[in-house]
Amino acid sequence: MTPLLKVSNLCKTFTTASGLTGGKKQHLLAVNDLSFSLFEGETLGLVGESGCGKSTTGKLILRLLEADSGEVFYKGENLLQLSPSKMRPLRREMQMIFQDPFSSLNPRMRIGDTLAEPFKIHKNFNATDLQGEIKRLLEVVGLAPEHLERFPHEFSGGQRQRIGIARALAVKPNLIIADEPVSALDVSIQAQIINLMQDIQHEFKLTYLFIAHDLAVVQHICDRVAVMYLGRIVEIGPAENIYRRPLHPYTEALLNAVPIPTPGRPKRTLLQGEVPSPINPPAGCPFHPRCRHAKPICQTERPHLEEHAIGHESACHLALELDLTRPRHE
Amino acid sequence: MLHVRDLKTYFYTSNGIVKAVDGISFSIHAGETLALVGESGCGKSATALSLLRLISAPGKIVGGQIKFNGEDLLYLSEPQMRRVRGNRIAMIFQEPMTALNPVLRIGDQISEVLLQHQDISPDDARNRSIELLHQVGIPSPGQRIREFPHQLSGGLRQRVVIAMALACDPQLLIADEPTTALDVTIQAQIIELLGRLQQERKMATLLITHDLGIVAESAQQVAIMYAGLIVEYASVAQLFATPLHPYTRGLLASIPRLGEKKGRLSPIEGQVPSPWTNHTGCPFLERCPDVVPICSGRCPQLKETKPGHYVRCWRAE
Repeated sequence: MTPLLKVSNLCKTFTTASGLTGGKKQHLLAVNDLSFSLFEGETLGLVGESGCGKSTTGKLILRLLEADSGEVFYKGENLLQLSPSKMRPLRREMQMIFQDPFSSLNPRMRIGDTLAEPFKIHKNFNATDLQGEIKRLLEVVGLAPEHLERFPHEFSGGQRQRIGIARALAVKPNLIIADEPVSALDVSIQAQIINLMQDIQHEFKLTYLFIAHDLAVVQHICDRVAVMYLGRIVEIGPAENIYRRPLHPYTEALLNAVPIPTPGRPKRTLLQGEVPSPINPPAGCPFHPRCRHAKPICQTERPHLEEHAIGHESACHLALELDLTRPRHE
Repeated sequence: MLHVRDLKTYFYTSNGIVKAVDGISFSIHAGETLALVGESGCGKSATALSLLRLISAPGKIVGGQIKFNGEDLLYLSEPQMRRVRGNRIAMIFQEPMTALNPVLRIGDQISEVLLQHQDISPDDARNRSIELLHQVGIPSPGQRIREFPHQLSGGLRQRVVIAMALACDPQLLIADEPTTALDVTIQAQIIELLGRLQQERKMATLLITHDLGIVAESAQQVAIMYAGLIVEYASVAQLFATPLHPYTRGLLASIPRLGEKKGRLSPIEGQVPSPWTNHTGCPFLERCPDVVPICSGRCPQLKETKPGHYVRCWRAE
């Protein structure tokens, strides 16, 4: 099966100047030689801690940021080499849902106008039917027609995220990149939005790249999961396998750190230290300074992603030797 | 140690009165952690600020008692209250960057607390600051005290804030979403640190959070808040085993859990009522799956249905 989206060897470096006078330039490898495929109709979760490069990856794919090198094939075409005019019709097929529904809506536009805009930009509407289309959209995301005349500040966080979803759906996309779509919402509302995202995925045959840090939410919604650390994918595979039997010590540590809402669970093993600076990443395996299983080889040689079970890849020298502790949620 | 009775904090806004805290009561004993759980706008942070009398206009504490070691904090003068804040009752905020002064070295910020409340020389305060940073697990504290907040990561900053809060050995620690801004592995470290420090010092803790996972792992007692009211109050074991209020049950059912693959989540329908709503009946009425006629007539009282298990619901008899 050919993937809908294929990312190969994607790299992005940010340059930062340190000091007040901007003296010495430093290079921060935000996304480092990243490769993965996304198949039609599936949901791939991209997880990791702040600064691991997951949001940057989303932006690079849509060319909201320009990559330094690498390729992003969408339906066989390399997006990174397209001219802006060739890119524009493809943008219709690839939409984004943002984390913060408060800052991603124009506060001075009525919701009806916000939702009409994508139709106008992509010129796929006929004027008589525009209002009907917008009302249908509102209905799909669970809002009422009287909401059209209101401004964003009149809505709660959950309703705003529904508007963000309606705006993304307006142009009938194939691929939606959702960057932390529920992390700003309260728990009872989070579940509403997750259900909505699953419903529209079935109804409109959508493919999701779901960027998040909440592992329980990711497990719930994703078919496959990729775990990122310091700009690289360290493990990728079917969600169920990753949660049952992780093949990378970092994934194990992430799973063990999640607080479980059942009293009396065994104590967790804590991951020591913090994520090292991406300006000066450790040699060898980037995770070795925090890894409790590290061996001498981990300090000198960088492990590559290797397939250890069907569709389940891990970048760890010890992936097969280690019998990682069963996650605490089991 | 702390007994709060019928505390009411209202905000007099131009759009009307917001009853942020509308008569809540709870107690915390030495060495115990009470978790205050609820969604945005339910009044949990307003409760915390009321305990320290940090509510500013248009907000006002309009009634109730806050008995701390037998003394009602609402009757203290402002200078007396200042000797309580940061000294006997300390608070940790959600966002460590805004809780620290960006232009002061962290050593000076910790020393300031000590110099304010204790009869101590600047040199001793400095040494004590180093010791405190060491206790909260900051490596090479002797160098760190000379650094500024922006030179530290989020996790280290929160450790500094904790060190400041603990500087004067408070009897009560109020932690308002102490780990919400942190990554999950750092969150685990901070929760563990708070638990350890609390045991060593026999502190009482009021932990404000929206994360039921954190409640299950670090509290003994829990109060669920909704629209300015406590709707359920019990031990953690009781609450998770037999949640009685439909809101609590809704919250527990709506969270995805690691290791349990469900087809669909069960959200609580609707949304939190506007803070300006004046409820005659139960505030959870519009979102409740099993309403009976009396629910719209009068707001139920918080009643003890089993020993130590309180619930505010007409149906939980």
